[in-house]
Amino acid sequence: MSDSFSLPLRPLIEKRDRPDTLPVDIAQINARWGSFRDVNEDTLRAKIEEEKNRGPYSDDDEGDKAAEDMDTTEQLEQLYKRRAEILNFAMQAHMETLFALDFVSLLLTKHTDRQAETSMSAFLKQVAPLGSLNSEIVNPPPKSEAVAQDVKTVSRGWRMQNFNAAANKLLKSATRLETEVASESKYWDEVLAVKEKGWKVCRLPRERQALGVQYGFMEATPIFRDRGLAALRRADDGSLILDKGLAPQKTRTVRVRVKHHDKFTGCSKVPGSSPAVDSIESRILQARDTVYEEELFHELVREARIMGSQGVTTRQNLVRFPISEEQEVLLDLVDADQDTDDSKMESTEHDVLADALSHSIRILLAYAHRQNLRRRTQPPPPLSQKRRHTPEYQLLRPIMAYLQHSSHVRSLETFMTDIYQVLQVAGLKCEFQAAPFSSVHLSRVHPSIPKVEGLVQQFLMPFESTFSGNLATPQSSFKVRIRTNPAAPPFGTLYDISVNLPQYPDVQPPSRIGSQREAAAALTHFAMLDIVSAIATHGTKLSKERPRKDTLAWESPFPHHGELLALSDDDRGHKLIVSLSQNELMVETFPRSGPEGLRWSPGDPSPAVHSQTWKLDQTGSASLIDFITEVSREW
Amino acid sequence: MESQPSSKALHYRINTNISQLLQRFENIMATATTESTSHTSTAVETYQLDVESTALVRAAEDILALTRSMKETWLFGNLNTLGEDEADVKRREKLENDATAIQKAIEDEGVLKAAAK
Repeated sequence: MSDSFSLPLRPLIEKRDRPDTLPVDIAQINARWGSFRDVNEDTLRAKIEEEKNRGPYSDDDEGDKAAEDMDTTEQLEQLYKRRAEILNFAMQAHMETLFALDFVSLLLTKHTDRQAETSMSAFLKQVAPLGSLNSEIVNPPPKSEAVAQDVKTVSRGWRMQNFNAAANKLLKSATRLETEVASESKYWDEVLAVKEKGWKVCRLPRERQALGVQYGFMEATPIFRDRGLAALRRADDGSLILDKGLAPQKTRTVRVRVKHHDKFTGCSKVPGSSPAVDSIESRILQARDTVYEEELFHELVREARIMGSQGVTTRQNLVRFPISEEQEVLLDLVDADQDTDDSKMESTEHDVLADALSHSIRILLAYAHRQNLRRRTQPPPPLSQKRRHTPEYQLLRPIMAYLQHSSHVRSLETFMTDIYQVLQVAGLKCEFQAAPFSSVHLSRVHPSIPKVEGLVQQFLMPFESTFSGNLATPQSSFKVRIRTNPAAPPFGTLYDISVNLPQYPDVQPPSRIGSQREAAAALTHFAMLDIVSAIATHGTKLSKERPRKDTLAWESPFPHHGELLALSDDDRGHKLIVSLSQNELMVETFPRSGPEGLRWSPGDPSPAVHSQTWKLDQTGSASLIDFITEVSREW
Repeated sequence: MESQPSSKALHYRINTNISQLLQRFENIMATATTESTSHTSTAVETYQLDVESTALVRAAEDILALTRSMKETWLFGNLNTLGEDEADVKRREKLENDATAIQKAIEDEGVLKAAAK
């Protein structure tokens, strides 16, 4: 089947190879069929049938095929021979043309030696002197005076016309060149002005004849680095055009917004585009800012993607991260001249925060650029097949850590201030010191690092703040270290509390406290323990000083519950309960029926309850020690 | 990188252009003096005038191109791409000053400490 098809197909393919024009087709048809009148569908079908029946081996072309079946070497030989022939002909034609050219040139030297000379061959120049050949009409018919006069007049006029045309042409060119020179010098003036402002002017890498200005950042990610180059083109009048290619002309900028309780309460300043000053300088600046902003947003999104575990989410054109339970920050890339704001600002309360954040991320990106430069000056790492991953820049992480740390420190400080005020109202002598951000030591920066980098570097290290203070009992003290790590795990803020309670040497806080509430609870507990021990110490001191029968000696078998017990002479038990919270300290005493029961029974007929509360903003009440002395004496 | 033209090449180019300007102008003038005897020779002269004037213009344009390339050479000749130029030095000093001011604000005036209150 395929054989029978392959034969009729082959000539078809061969035909395709040479472009048959319609005339050739017609000629072929005429040669084969006689005339168009004989060609109709029936005869063609009959012919096809006939060819099918004839089978593959009875083809007309067989004779030709045999002729083509020459030896390959023979074919090659023939090919070379033909080629040599073609070359011969071509060279001969060339030679003859040259002869003709020489001849004509020599002939022309008679009249116009300079032009004709250029087309003469060197040999001919040597052999034949210029102008040695002339042609003249043999036996010219005598020109009449009128004809001679006519020729003279015509050629004079013609020549005048030509000189005029040439003069016009030259003058026109001169004017053109003059304007060209003017615009060129204007262009160069502007280029020089740009260069004197400190921009780097260079040739474009892909377009050697054009000038470009480099305004981008050499240390940026390659895609943004390559965009930091624009051609300085010349307009027709010579003014400078900044040609940024396909990059958008709009000014774009990263906007920071703060959302508080689902309301926008702060927005960073968006630099408006200034169309008033449309100098080349301002356009370069605008291009530079836009490329920086776009890179900034690109890096923010890149970093946000690895921070999903910390609550950072990204949308198409939005990065959102929480700073506290009710506040979150939104970053997006907007056009600078975008006036219609889709989300109205509820207030401008947090504008300062938003502005600070927007400055911070920009400073951090500049710092990352400097780090890139530093890395590039180091010897490169060994070659390897693996493509090295560019680490994400630290932009969001430091600011998140700072905000988080600051919020923790602030709330702990509020808490401590409250507790200590309560204690002071209760007449207990104690105080505490707060050292927020004690880890930031700017003077510790290594002198080889530029000051700017050292400054930023301090804020990329783990933050640490300390609180320390003494408690009511002498010798007891506590210390809290709050640590937040921006870059490496464990993320988040850790509280490290250490206490020194001489009465309870084996009481130690849990080693790692993560939440602010837990830390506050632990600290309250220690303060309460300390008060209990202070009361106990006071009781023993009191009974030693004045060993009167009617003074109770408080003991604390259950200090962790804030309970103290005492026995009066008549074997009546007394219980004292201390409870401390951020806002108040309360001490209550209950009579206890018998030594066996720990709880005060409700059935007691005369529950002589004494209670005293010290509140945060209370003044002028009796101190705790006085109250205890009072209570102890009453029995 | 296209090689910087040597001063010799530049001189050569200038000289060629100047001689071209002179020569072409001479040629134009020369055609004026010849006495033509037939229409054919006048036609040839016409053509020649055209050629000569075009060449004259071309030489002038080449001088313009030459000045442009010389300007570029001047612009890039002393381009110190590595290291800092004057603007960079100024900017760096300003940055250092700013950093010192901020450091002072943080350390002495307690910006961070105040933030906690």
